[in-house]
Amino acid sequence: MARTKAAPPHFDLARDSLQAREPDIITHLRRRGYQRWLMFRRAINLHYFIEKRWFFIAVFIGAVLLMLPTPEGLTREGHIVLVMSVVATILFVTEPVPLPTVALMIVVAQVALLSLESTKVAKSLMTDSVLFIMGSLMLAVAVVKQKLDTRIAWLIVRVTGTRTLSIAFGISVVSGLLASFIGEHTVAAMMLPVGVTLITLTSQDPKKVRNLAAVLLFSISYGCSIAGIGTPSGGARNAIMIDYWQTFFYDPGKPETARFLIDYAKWMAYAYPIFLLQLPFVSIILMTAFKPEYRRLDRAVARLRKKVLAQGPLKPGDWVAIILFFAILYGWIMLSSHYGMGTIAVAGAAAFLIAGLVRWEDVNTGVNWGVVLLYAAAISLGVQMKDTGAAAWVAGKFLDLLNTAGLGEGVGLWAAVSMLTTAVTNTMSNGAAVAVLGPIVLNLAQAAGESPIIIGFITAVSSAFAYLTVVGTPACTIVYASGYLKTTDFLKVGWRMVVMSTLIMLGAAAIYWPMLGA
Amino acid sequence: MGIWRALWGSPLHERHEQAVRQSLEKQRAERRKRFRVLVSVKDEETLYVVRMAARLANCDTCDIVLLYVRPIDRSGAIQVRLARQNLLEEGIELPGLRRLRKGLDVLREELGLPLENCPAQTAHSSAWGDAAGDNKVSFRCPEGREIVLKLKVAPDVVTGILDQYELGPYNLIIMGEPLRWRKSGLWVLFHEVVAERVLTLAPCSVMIARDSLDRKGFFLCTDGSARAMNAVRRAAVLAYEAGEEITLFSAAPSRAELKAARKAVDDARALLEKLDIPVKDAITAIGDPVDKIIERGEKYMVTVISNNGRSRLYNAFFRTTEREVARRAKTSVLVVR
Repeated sequence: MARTKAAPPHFDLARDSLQAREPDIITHLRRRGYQRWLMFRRAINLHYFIEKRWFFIAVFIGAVLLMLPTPEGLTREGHIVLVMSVVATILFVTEPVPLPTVALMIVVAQVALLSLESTKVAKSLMTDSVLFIMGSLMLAVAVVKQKLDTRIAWLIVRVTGTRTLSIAFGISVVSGLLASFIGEHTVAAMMLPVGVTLITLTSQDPKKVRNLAAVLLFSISYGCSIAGIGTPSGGARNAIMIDYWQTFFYDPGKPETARFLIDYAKWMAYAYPIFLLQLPFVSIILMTAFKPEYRRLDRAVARLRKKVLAQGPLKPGDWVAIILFFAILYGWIMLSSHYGMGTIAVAGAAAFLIAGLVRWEDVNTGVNWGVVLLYAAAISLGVQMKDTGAAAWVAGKFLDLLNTAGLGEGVGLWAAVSMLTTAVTNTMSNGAAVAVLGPIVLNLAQAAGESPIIIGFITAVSSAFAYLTVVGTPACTIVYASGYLKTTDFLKVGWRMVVMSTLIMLGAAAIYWPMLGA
Repeated sequence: MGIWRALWGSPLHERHEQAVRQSLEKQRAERRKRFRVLVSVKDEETLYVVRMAARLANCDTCDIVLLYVRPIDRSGAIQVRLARQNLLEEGIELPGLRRLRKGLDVLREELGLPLENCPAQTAHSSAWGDAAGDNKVSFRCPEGREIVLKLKVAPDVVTGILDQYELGPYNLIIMGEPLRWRKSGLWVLFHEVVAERVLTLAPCSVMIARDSLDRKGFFLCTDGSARAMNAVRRAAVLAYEAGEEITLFSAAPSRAELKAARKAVDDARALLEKLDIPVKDAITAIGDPVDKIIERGEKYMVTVISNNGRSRLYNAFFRTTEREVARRAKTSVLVVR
């Protein structure tokens, strides 16, 4: 009898192959334990000491520095304020705790270490600049909520046509013009859908539009970054510098110090031309760094047109929003010297709320209130730096260092201040960078016999040169969040931007600003 | 008693609570009868992980879950959230979703699944206060196989993958080779190696996939221990069901240990013959086991090695064979747990 061939074996993969854990009691308890552990970790993180190591390192460094003898030429209070600044800087850079926490710590330290009255510290937190920062952030949310991004995109291509270079330039111009008035982070958030819409309408495959995506998205982020310096409402750093000039140098008894009262229009006269000069270079740099795959975006524009037509004409609410926006701009430019920039900003936010164009809930969730607190505390610390003589002491030491390197005056000093600010701003938020460096560089200007206004502008403008990293500016972080860019793209194009911006700014410092009486 | 109730108890009525538990248990028991593969999708360049999952889990009792974990936006980044919200409201897909769709296309192509005719279920749950939250689309094929796309938000990618395992459980986690293992220099300091942590913490077997689909066969390594034999048996079943040939291998650190290595492969061969699983080849070599496994395993599609079974603390401080092989191999590595 012939032997029948055995049937090939068949296995149940779930049973015979790789095992998912059997439901025995130990596994069950372990799994439940793991879930509890996750829940527990969500509330109290047991990796706490590793995650927060920089917090403890900063506090330890602070404690050690406080125990050291006070350096010659520095008061004990100055010593304490300097240590507070060092600790705050470490925390700004490493971010082991949410940044507004640093603000809270600054307030506590002023009372606990400097023995200042609590009411005095609280009062020092709210100035017109802080009110202005708060109002601008509220306004920015109100403007974004109007959902005008598709129309803005259409407006851009109507003017520029369908050539990629023209559209990229148009995006930079519109992002820049908006960001110069309402803050770069919000404009970037508003313009990102515009950029991504144009990219996805061109091709759904990200690989086919990699360079095009880089050009369009960087046009948004760099357009916003270079514009942030244009007006005081472009970024909190500008308001901080205005506050420092007024606090440090303005004396109501001395009419000649009135030049340190920089209002909205005056700031624009100094900084806006620098933004406008940089605009064409952004597109040129981007087009040379990334060669876009498509020279024309006809397909995308046709689809965009369809979207705009489907939306219908502008509604009355849209017109009211546009009128309000321009009314606030008028107020800032023409009336801020009389009423203060902060008052006009909050009046504008109130007007948007009264007109029902934005809900308070949206403002409440959209505004980063922590930023307001952070800058309030940073300004307060900056004032302490000046009052206790700490800023003057650091400035003196830094100037000695620069003198030995032959950079103690003129263009050398400007370039040194610019490089210092660029280095610092690439590691922390630009507002924090100006808040930390402001008191030092302004004292430095005084000690070196330079104009505090020029040095102040160099610091404020250089703080916008955070082109090199994803976290340098909120605009960069936002376009990176689209998923189209790599971190190395920022380095690839960022250094060219830094060189271009620095050259234009130094040119302005040497030729243009002195003409305005700086 | 009161405190116990407050900490561990449920506000539900006892019968209701029991019904909830029973339905959950039933669901888990059903899942346990299936061979479930969790595929962590990272980017479009590493879609070969999906292809690998399709090759290994190509039967009606196999479920494939494609997972993309997006870390929560950094604290204070309200504007990033606002931007994401804007994108979602504009109907623009998040990057993760795009990648998952690509993964689905790969599965459709590899398995020939008529997914457009399969009923799809979508689920959304809020997670970590994120605008997008967790999103899931599952397709149930007529023959019972389930394909799931999951876009998950988690504090970090590792937590996301392990969290997803807890919802499983899964028989196998497949993930791509981390970039950090391929690169060097300062770059590596700024990138966390997700695969390394999942390899240490995952409760099930983990495969570090490389683009080795042009090669054939499973390269099963054993040192003769009970743990290694068990791994050989389980991986051999997987290889057999996937239609791959099996090569057994054992490395002897010195000539004196060659006899033990030969015995290990002979025992493994006998074990598989008992199961009627054919073995193509059984080889031994003298030298450092890690080097030899990497060298000899290079021409196979998958190198299989068993987990050492030691504690996480030990793994954190000492060099282990499976981690070294997973890191340095030129082919996909399956670490059997």
